[in-house]
Parts: sequence; C-alpha cells; structure tokens
Amino acid sequence: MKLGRALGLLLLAPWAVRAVEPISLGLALAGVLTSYISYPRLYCLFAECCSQKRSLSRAALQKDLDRKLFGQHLAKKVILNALTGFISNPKPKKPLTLSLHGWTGTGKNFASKIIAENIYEGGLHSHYVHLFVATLHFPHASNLTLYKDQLQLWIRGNVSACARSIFIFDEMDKMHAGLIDAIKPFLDYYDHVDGVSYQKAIFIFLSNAGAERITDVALDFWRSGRQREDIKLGDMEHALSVSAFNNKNSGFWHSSLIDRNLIDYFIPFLPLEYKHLKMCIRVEMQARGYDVDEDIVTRVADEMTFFPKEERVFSDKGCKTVFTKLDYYYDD
Amino acid sequence: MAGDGRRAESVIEGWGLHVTPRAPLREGRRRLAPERGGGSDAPAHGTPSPSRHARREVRFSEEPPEVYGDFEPPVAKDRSPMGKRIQLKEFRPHATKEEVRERAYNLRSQPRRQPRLQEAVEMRTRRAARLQQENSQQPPPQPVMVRRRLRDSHSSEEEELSPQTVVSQTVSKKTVWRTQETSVMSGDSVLDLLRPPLRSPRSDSAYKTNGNTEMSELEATSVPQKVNFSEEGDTEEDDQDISDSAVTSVKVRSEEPLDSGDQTSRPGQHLESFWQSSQSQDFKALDTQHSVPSSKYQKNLQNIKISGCQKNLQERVDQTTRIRTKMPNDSFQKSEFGNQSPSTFSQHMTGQPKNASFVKMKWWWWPILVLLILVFGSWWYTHVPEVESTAVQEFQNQMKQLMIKYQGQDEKLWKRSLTFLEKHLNSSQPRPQPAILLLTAARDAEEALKCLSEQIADAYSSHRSVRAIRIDGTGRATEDSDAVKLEVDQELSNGFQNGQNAAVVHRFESLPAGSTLIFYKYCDHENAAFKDVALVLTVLLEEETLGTSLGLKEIEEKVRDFLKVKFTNSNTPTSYKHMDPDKLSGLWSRISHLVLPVQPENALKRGICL
Repeated sequence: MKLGRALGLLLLAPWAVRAVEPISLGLALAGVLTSYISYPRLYCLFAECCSQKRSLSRAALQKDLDRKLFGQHLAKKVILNALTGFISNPKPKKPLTLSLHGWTGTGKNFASKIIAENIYEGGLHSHYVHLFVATLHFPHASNLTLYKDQLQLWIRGNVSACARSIFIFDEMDKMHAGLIDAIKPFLDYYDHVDGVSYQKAIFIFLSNAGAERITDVALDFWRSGRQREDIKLGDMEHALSVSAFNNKNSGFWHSSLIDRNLIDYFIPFLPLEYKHLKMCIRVEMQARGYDVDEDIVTRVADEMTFFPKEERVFSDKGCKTVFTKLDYYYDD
Repeated sequence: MAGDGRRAESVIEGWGLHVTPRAPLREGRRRLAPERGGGSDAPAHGTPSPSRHARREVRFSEEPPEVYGDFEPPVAKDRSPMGKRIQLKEFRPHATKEEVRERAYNLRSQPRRQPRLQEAVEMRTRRAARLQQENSQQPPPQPVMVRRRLRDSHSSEEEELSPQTVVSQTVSKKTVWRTQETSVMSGDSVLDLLRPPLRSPRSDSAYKTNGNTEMSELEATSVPQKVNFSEEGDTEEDDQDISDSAVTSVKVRSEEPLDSGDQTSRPGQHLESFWQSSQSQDFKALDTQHSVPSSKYQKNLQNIKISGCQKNLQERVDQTTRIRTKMPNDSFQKSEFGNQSPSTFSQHMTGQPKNASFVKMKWWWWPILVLLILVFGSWWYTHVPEVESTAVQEFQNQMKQLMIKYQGQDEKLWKRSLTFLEKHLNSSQPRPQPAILLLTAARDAEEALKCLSEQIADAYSSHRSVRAIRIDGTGRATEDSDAVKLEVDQELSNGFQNGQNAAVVHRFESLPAGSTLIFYKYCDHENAAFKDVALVLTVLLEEETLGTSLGLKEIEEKVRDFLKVKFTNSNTPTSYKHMDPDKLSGLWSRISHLVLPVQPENALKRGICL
C-alpha cells in the first residue's frame, strides 16, 4: 500500500539521513497519521469498520460451506441463497431472519459462525456480531424484565451504531416466550422502530426445536432406501407444520413468530450419519496437527452411540463429544 | 440502571469508534495496530499516559544543550544507572509519540518563558531541592517540581533554544528524570551530596517551556515550596562543573558511584525492581483478566453479552501482544533518538566527557535490556506451567491413593478418568470447555458411587486445597424446578467464583427435569460459564446390578435411555422451560463426554467413605 510504503520510508529516513530534524519529522509523522486516522477508508483497512457497502462473496461463502459443513445439503443451499440475496439487496424491507433448527451437534452454531465470518472478518469476535445464549444469558424466568430491558437496549444501541449488525440467538427453544416477544418488533416490516431502522440487520435463531420431527423425515427416507440428498425443504415443512407449528399447545417457540411470518427462512439440520462423523474426526485430527489415521478414525467413530436401536443410523450427539474420545487414542 | 448506563456507554463508545475517528495522535497510533478492541483499549492506555506525559514533559525541558556536547567513555560504574534509565524508558511505549508532541509544545511556548529572571545559583539550589522533594514524592507531583525548576532555570538564562537542542534535551532529560526518580527512591542523602549545579540557559528555557505549556495551572501550587529547597542545594555547587541542569542530573547519577561505591547500584536496583514489578503486574493483570470474564457471568447479570466478554479476553490478549510488539518499535524509536542525539550533541560540544559517556552507555545497555526482558519473559512463562504440573502431580497422587482403596473398580474407570482429567488440568489456558465426567452405577454400588464421585472431584481440586462443590439431587424430583434451578445455579456460580474448581452433582436423575437445563450453561463446549473447572455428575440406575461385561458404549446407551425415561414425559406441555426430547438430546450431548461405570465395593460401610 502506498501509504504504508511512504510511512516506512519516512520512518527509515532518520537512519539514512542521520541529521533529520526531529521536530519537523515528528510533525510530518503527526500530520500523516492524523490524516490517516481521519480518512475512514484508510482507517478501515486496519481496524474493523461497519461498512455499509460490504459485499458478500458468494463463491467464498459457498466454498466455506462446502468445505466445513458436513451432511447438510438443505442448509447449505438455503443459507447461500438467503444471505447473498439479502446482502446484495440495497433496500431490504425487513431484517433477514433465519431459523436454524435441528438435531444437536449437526452444525447449527458452526453454520452461524461461517455466516458471521463471511460478513465480518472477525467472525463471532467482531464488534458487530452479537451472540446471545439463552441458557447462559437468560437462564431464570424470574429475571425476565431485566433481560428484556437489557436485550432491547443492546439491540437498539448496536443497530444504531451499525445497521448491518448480526444477532445470533442460541438455544432459542429455552428462551422465555416473553423475551422472544420483546424482540419481535425488531424483526418486523417496519421502516423505523423508535428512530432506528433494523432493515439491514441479520437475526439468526438456533434451536433444537423440531429435531425429532426432522429426524423422523430423514429416517423415513433412509428406510425407504432414498438418498439423503433427495430430501427437499418441502418435505420438511410439511412435517414440521403439522406437528409443531400449528399446534397451539405445543409451546413451540416458533408459533408466535410464525403467526406473523417473521421468520424468513426455516433451515432444518438433519442428524448426522456414520460417514459424516468420520469426516468430522478427520478434520479435527488435521486441525490438531496429526496425520489422518483411518484406523483411529474408525475406532473413534465406533465408540459413538447411534439411534434408533435397531437400525443405528444416526449419531446420537452429532459430532459432539467426538473429540474427547480422540484424546485417548493420541495419549497412548 | 447502572447496567444500562454501562451498556449505553459501551454503545456510545462503539458509536464514537466508528463515527468519529479520533484526532489525538496517541489514539491514532494505537489504532495502527490491527486490533479490534481499539475503543475499549483507550482507557487502558489512557490512564498511564497522562502521568507519563507529565513526567516526560519535565524531562524534556530539563536536558540542557551541553549534555549532548560530549560523549567521552565514562567510568564503568556510570554505565549502570544510564542503562537502567533506558530500561525504564523502553517500557513506556507511548512516550516517543508524546515526546514528539511535546517538542512542538516546547517550541511554541519558548518565547513565553524567556522574560523570567532569577539567580543562577538560586535556580540550582532550588532545582536540587526540588529534586529531593520529587524523589520523596510519587511521580504525580513531579511535574510540579519540574515546573518549578523550569521557572528557575529559565529565569536565570534567556537564550533561544534551537529545536534540536530542545529535542535532544527532551530525550536526555527524559532518561535523566527517570533515573532521578529512581534515585530518589534510594534515598535523599545521595541527592543531598549530588546537587546538580545550575546549567545552561538553553536547557533551562526548554525545561521551563515544557513545564509551563503543559502544567501552567500547577505552578501556583509549586511556588511556596521553592523556598524550602533553596538551602539544601547549596552544598552541591562546588562539587560539579557541569554546565546544564540535565547534565548535572546526569552527573548526579554518575557521581554517585564516585562518591559512594554502592550508591549506583541502589538506583539501578530500584529501577530494575520497579520495572520488573510493574512488568509482573502487567502480566498478572492480564492473566487475571483472562480468567475473570469466565467468572463474571453470574456477577454481572446486566452484562448479557458473551461476545463482549470474549472480546475483553481478546483485548487483553491484544494488549499483551501490543505491549510485546511495542518493544521492537520502542527500540526502533530509541535508535532514532540515538542517531539524532550524537548529531545534536556534536553541535553543542562543550567538552563534557560525561555526556558522551551517557549516550554511549545507553547504546551499550540495550542488548542487556533485551536480554533481561527475555529472561524475565521466559521465567514468567516457565513459572506458569510449573504451577500446572504441580496440580497434575497432586491430582495423580490423590488418584493413586483412590486406586489403592477402591480395588473393585473397572480399570477402564481409572484409565479414562485419569487421562481425561489430567489433560484438562494440564492444558494451556484458556481451556475451551470444562471437564465433564458422568459416573453411573446400579443399586448395589450406590455407596461406592457417592464416595468415589466426591473423592474424584476433590482430587481434581486438591492442588487448590479446597473441597469440591457438592450438590445433591436425592429426593428432589418433586420440587419446583425453577427454584431448584436457581439454587443449583447460585451454588455452582458462587463456588466457582470463590476459588473452587470442581463440583459433584449426586443423583443427577433425581433433579427436576426443568432444572437440569441450567447445565447447558455450565457444560457447553464453547460458551460455558466457567471453562477451567470440572463437573462430576452421577446417575444411579434403577437396576440391581450392572455386571462387568458391559462396554462403555452400552453403558452410555443405558444411561441415555434411563434419563430419557426419567426426564421426558409425553404429558408435560412443551415450553421453554420444560424438558422435552429435543432439549434432552442437546443436554445429553453436553454432559456425556465420558460415561464410566462404578462397581460395588464390599469394604464400604454405609455413610463412611474409604
């Protein structure tokens, strides 16, 4: 970068010249740096900025999803289309609301991490990505009003600072219904809510809700000999709507949100099979710096429990607790 | 609400961060480092800098031009104080930036200071007195003293200072001041002997300008103190022949060894110990800040942001990396000044051998300083793993004793639990998740289960000499799940925050189903509330005996099915706080990292553990 080179030359000048006037040099440096600071584009090259013109690279997102997310063909497709469509839309009518739900250990948090990293380099550690874990941040129903106030203020404050903020709500199915109601206005088709426009924000909801129903559909496909990749979103929606969404007594947290069509995309996560488990193990081995030993991969995968009892098709816990088992094999 | 205010503040900070790029040089320089926690780092760096700022101003103006005049190799002893001075200088990474600014101030304010008139001798004595007083006080009052000196020195001489002089003066003055500060700590008696005589007007004027521009408001307070010091410095006049105050201050240092053999070592030692203590404090602060976010969750109900805490962590890490990366920058800038100083010094040759030696000593001591940093850093980093290895040893000892006592157990139990918990004790901080152990037994091993689980948890926390937190779920299945949830939450949080690092939960299956959702908080693999702790959960199966032929996989399945039966009930309405199969699967995936069986022990008597 030109500025960098100029700065470097400036800083190196005293070495060469040896008789540089320190005060004027200092003033020059001060001037350069002040101009650097006050010019946002330069500043944004070094530090994180909330860039309104930030564009999502569809190819990069696709590559990330293909490489890292195993066994979720539905999720990959929907996330890719939803996100690229939303980001490329200069004037969205409402914030993007994704609901990632499904079996545990199947990559919901991981997918939200991939989304965050493709929009902001810092990923979950970025200033503009906010993660709320309901079981951690809002554990007790008795403190509901406190949670409500804080959450609303937090969302409002951050969206007013950066319109393209990302809010990830984990364990939504353990979140108090009243608290979900508190954030409903932010998800709606309003131009402004209290002077702040949420239309460019992204809300991602993660939960285990509907996991059993999704597994039932996947198991049906497996039992009838059809390919996992043949499962379509339509199959899922039907099963979910019949059992949970339209059941007023279900307490399914979606219901209040679904009533007003506030969720843009429902993204089901299918339970993982044996082969996906092995993929997870291989990636983790490589991440830890070991060579991929197929024997160890098989042994670790065999230690995991599967369900249903007879067919033993899907991993009980997805890819969770797998890496703990990896430790024993590498300690020997 | 205070929490709102805090959050609003952080939000406003965030706003400010993006909306208004800050003009001040210092903060801009901070932003040069590619880090995300820029805004919140500001206060961390803001606080030390004003004091440094003030001190530095003083030093700038103190250096007289003649100081730079000559660089004869000094007496060997002289080098040590200089070196230590340089060390101190290095640990103030913002110093150089502020120096630049202060030089500008010096230039600007110079003309204002000229008209003052005072006796040179008076100035010298006053300066000496001030030195003494400064030494007896903490850094903040120093600017006051410095300004008094400035005024005195300036009044005695009225010369125009060239910018280079000023700059060089600031450089040497800074180091000189630092050494003076440390020497102050060593004792006033030394200073009494080494009162620097009045120096050249140039240095004084620069000195004065500096002080005046930066702290004009403090001058009024300093006036009454002047008188007291005048008497003390009189004895020094004859001793030294230096022409400027900075040189004299330098000479104070250099003359200490001449006068009394061990006096040099004292200021040097003070310097070093001061530096080391501050450095260790920095590291300690950073380390505690690493662990604090994990324990802050319960305390800070209002701070609902996990990622905020993670960012704090990141910022602390960034701060450490920044502090470390700044050292090369400092050395670079120091070399800059080093290059400049000989040239400026040569311009003001006054035949002062000690000045030359001062600069040369500075150069020579930099590698020593770097070496000291490395030594200290390596000591620090080796010290921390030492603590962990003793924890592992302590744990291993305890477990060995347990293995001897409980002879009837499966060897799988010992092997796996030992490996698992050892790895968790040994892993470098910060640990990504807590260690969760699930022990299970049939009815015939109920006592052994209770005893063994407690003792394993105690063994984990034995290196801290605290017992594990104990939670008993026996007979609580019918209690209000919200109340139990709150109680378990508070017990675990209070315990973990107050130094305990292990917990045992007896009869996990007997807790009300909704209350077990709190274990999402403690057992998550990424966002657990406390990451460097261990939790031992026990599940008592309803069968009479387990048998010894079952593999770990079958045992895990047994427990899973048992909990499914116990916790889920098709009659309970599904809501956010009631357990259902989906939530249970999420909970199960978090607590079943290691499921181990406990076999019955014949030697165990009721209620008494081995």
